[in-house]
Amino acid sequence: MNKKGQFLLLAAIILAISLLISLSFYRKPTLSIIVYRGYIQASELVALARVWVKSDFCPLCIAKTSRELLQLNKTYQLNIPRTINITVKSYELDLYDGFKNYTIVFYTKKGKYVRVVVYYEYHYQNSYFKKVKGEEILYYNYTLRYFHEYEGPWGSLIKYPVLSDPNQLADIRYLGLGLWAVGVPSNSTPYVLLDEFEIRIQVGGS
Amino acid sequence: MEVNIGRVIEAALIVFVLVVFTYQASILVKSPRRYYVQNVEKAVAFYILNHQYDSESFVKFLSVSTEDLYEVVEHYEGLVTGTRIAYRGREPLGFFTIIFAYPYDSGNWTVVEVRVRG
Repeated sequence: MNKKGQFLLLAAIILAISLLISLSFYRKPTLSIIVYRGYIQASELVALARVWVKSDFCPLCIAKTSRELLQLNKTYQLNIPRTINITVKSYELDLYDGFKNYTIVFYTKKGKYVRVVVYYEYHYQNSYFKKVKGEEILYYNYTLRYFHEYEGPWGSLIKYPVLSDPNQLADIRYLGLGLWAVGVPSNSTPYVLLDEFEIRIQVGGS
Repeated sequence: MEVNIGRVIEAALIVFVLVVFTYQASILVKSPRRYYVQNVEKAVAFYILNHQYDSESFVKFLSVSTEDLYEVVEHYEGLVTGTRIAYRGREPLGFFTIIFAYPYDSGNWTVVEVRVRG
């Protein structure tokens, strides 16, 4: 190749580069929907399981939300795999001690996909009097342990949800790692607290 | 005509480099940045696992998690229906959409489309 040919080749390369750069500027936005099954699909099932726990495993609610998710999955191509589920609820709620355990497991054809556990237990510690609106009221003091466990493609995750008191009568103090000190008026047991997902926690009875 | 083998090899090499360059450049221009998309996907999943979906806190969370956020669109499904753009940034050359559905109650869902530059 002579000098003229080499210059011609160089010019062609420069032209190619310029063309590619200018083409990249003229590219129009293109919509691409990810067909990627990662953590999101599994976390959507966790959110669904929390709604079921919130409804205290009401069969009608479970059936209705499952149908709705199936429909949305089809409409929006959410790419959630077909699953079957098992729900187990066990509890014993007395005045002095109690626990409640909700377990939901979603299975795909390949096996266990997502497992959600919502668990709380409480133990009576002591009692005290508190002045409320000029009246001495007997309060029961409990320790309450409350956590969610989410197993999925991410491994296992423990969450300690924040509790709130809708009636604003209880004395709540967070001690750390899902442990709470809860003082509730003795005339209002079982006392209901709510977590950040609006799940009901009953303390001091059923 | 005498053929100069050296020149032929030189020309072939130049053509080869040009083809490789063009191919690589076109991949760079066309292909999405999957790495970023998967990072955003994980961030979204983390949010769903740890929070009750709320438009404002979600956008705030994603804005901190990624610089590639372009748009967040919410579709309300159930008793109330409608669409709302919760966030829109500068329009990119291309983007990916990550979709998820969040339930509050039966008959009360929000389908969220997160668009990420890529």
